[in-house]
Amino acid sequence: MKSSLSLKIEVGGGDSVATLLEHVYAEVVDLGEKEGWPPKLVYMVNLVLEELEVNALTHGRASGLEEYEIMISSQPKVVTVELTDDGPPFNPLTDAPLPDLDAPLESRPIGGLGIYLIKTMVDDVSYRREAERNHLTMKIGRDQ
Amino acid sequence: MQVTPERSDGILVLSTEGRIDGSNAHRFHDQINKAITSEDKNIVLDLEGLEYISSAGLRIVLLVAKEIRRAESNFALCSMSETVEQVFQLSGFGQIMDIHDSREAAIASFA
Repeated sequence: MKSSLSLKIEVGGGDSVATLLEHVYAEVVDLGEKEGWPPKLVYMVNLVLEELEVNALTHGRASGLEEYEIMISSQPKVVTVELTDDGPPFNPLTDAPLPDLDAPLESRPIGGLGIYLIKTMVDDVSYRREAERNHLTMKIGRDQ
Repeated sequence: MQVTPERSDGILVLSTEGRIDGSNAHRFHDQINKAITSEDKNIVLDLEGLEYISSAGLRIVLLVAKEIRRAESNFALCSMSETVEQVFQLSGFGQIMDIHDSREAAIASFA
C-alpha cells in the first residue's frame, strides 16, 4: 500500500508564488485525506514544502532555475518528500543561515526560521547534487 | 486569513482565522497595523481560528511583538492549536512572548 503525488512546476510559467502555494496546499490536503494522515502530519508536510518552495521560487527565478519538481510518497510508516530543481547548486541545510534563538525580543533577528523548522521537525533530511540538479529528500514519520 | 479586532475594558483582542503563509503574510501585517491605535496599551493576539502558520507568518508576529514593545504596550498570545504552539515553541518564541491557553488567561496577565 503506497500512494504518491508528483507535481512539476514550470518556474517561468507566469503563475505567482501565491497561486503555486495554494495549488500545492490543496494537493497535499487531498493526499492527506485519502491516506488518513493526522492533521499534524498534513501541517508538517505543507510547512516543509512551503518553506522550501518560497526559497526556491523567489531566489531561483533570478539564478536560472526553470523546473521544480515535488514528489510525495505516503507509505505505511513514513511520508517521503523529495524536491528536485535545476537551479545552481544550493544545499539549504548548510547554505542557509540559522536563527539566533537566544536573543531577547528587542534584538531577535527577523527571519532564518524556515530551514531551522524543517531540520527540527522532520525525522531525516539529506541533500545531494546529481545530474546538475539539486535533490532534497525528507522523511516524516506517520506517527505524529 | 482574516484578523478581527474587538475592544473591551481597555483591551484590544485581535482574532485571527485561516492560514498565514508566504503569499498573505504581508496582508496579516497590514491588518494588524490598521487595527492597533496609539491608544491600545493591552493587546491580545487570539489564534484559536488559526489553521496554519509558516515562517513568513512567524516573522510578522515577531515584528508586531517588537513594535508593541517599542510602544511600551503589553502583548499576549492565546488559544493556539497544539501544532501551531509547537511551531511557536520550536521558533523560540516561548521565551520572548507571553503565550496563554485561553483568552481569559491572556487578559488576566495584564492585571
